[in-house]
Amino acid sequence: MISVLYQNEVYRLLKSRKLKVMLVLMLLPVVVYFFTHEEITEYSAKALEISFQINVSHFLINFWASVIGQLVVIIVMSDLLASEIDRGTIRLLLVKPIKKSEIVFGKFFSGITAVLVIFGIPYFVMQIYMVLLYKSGFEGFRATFDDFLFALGVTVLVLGSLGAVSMLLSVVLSRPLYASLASFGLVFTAQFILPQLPFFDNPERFNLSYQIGVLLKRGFTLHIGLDTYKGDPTMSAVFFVSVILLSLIFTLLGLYRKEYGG
Amino acid sequence: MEYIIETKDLTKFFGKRNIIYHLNLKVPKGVVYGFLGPNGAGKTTTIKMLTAALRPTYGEIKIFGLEMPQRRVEIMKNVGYMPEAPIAYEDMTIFEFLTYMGRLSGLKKEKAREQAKELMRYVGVGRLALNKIKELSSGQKQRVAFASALIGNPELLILDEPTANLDPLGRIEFIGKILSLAKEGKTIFISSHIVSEVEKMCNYVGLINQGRLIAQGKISELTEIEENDYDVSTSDNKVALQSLREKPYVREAWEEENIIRVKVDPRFLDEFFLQFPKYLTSQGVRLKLFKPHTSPLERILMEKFSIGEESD
Repeated sequence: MISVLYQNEVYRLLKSRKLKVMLVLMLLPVVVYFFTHEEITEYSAKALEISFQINVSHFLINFWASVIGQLVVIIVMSDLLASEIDRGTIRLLLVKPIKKSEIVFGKFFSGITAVLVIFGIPYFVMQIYMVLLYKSGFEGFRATFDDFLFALGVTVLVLGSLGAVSMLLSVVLSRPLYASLASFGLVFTAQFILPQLPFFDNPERFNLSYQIGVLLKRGFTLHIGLDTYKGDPTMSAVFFVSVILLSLIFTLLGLYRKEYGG
Repeated sequence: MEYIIETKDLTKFFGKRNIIYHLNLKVPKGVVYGFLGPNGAGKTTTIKMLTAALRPTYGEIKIFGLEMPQRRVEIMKNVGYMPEAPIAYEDMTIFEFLTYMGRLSGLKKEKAREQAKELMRYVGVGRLALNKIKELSSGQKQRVAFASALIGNPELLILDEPTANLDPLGRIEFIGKILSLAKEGKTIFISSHIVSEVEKMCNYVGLINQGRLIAQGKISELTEIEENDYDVSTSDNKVALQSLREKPYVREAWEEENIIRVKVDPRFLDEFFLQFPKYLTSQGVRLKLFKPHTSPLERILMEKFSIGEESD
């Protein structure tokens, strides 16, 4: 039954104007790269891979996973359950033989699929464009494909955890707009305001973009600039996986506790 | 007797406000059960508890002998639900919506599509299959909601104010469909505040007022008390009225818009039934209408509800 809910939700998301607008927004770095890329001096798969790692890290840390990317994920994920509760359609799901856990996980995975589309397409376009630019053909494509998947995986892990927190808040608040606002508030307080308190050392490590840098360090070994991001990638990954799991568990509990009188 | 829905001391508070008070519903298998009560009596709240949208403050709900909400997933394999205000995914077409609901009911994709097509024709929205739900009128949405309740061929139908948005013709059509579904052996639980519709559709009734179940049972058993207020119409009302006024068993008789209202002394109802038609025939007057002034269910409703109000 989870597959039915997942398919329907993915279909609905892919058809939505919201997703298309977000996709266009996420393609902006590719357009920027198109006009501003460095002069190519060496045409090889190795040079391509180094350049790909440097450019993807740069855009990921400064744009895709920064405030803009976070806003996009919050908007997508906070709408998944809150819109069902807000419009009352959750009652149509409750009178079907579908478990509440299937509702939560079906929705979460459909949201993650939307995130994969919104971020995956720009990464892929960037990869293809760079392969063409470096004239490295299939060899270059193969050399950068692992990096493309790794970057996408890191994006999903970090922004997925943010999405899971948004889903939790959306069940508590029951309104997509309120849930989005609450998520923005929470995330920005946690990233930018709390770390300013005097007893937090190295406050930038609380920033999601910074943690992206820490995680990328594990896979983007050719980009030595990532060494400036201090921290253990494994610990960061464990932290984000824990946030996802805990948020989903509490979302499920929230769904069990909630009443749908409206 | 096998009960499809059974509640025990079902009670619901919203804050300190008591909405449902020790409700003991018993809905036997294969009946059309009319859950009748005025607006705000607690019908929709009860239905929301039956469909797991609300949790009882205390009390038990059993559907098909299984506890709700603990066994919700098993129960819902055989339940079709139509909410009081049609809820649907407004951006979907009717066909997409019904197919989705069918798939969530456990049907395979092809079967769900097939049933969706059949049900669209059955409820009369076949030609609108590719219209988005947000483009439909409230009556059409109501029909879609009915089709959605029927998808998966459930054994129990829970319908909350199902005729609320239908036009008169739609209501007649709907009543016909309920009667034919009842013949198929389905158990149908209908909440309504329209007595005449409940009388036409239901053979069982539960009367609810201010969150309390006031009476419940077969309509025929509940309405056994005889009426003493009748409506009569004849080919010559003048003769009929004069004759009625002379009869010792008639307390009062008067004419209102070509209908004679007769209040009969309840001790002499037999005489009234036997002698009055005979007398009219002897005078060459044809009897056109002879029926209780209020419907039996309406009467029982008025009696029971006034008792409920007094006890408060």
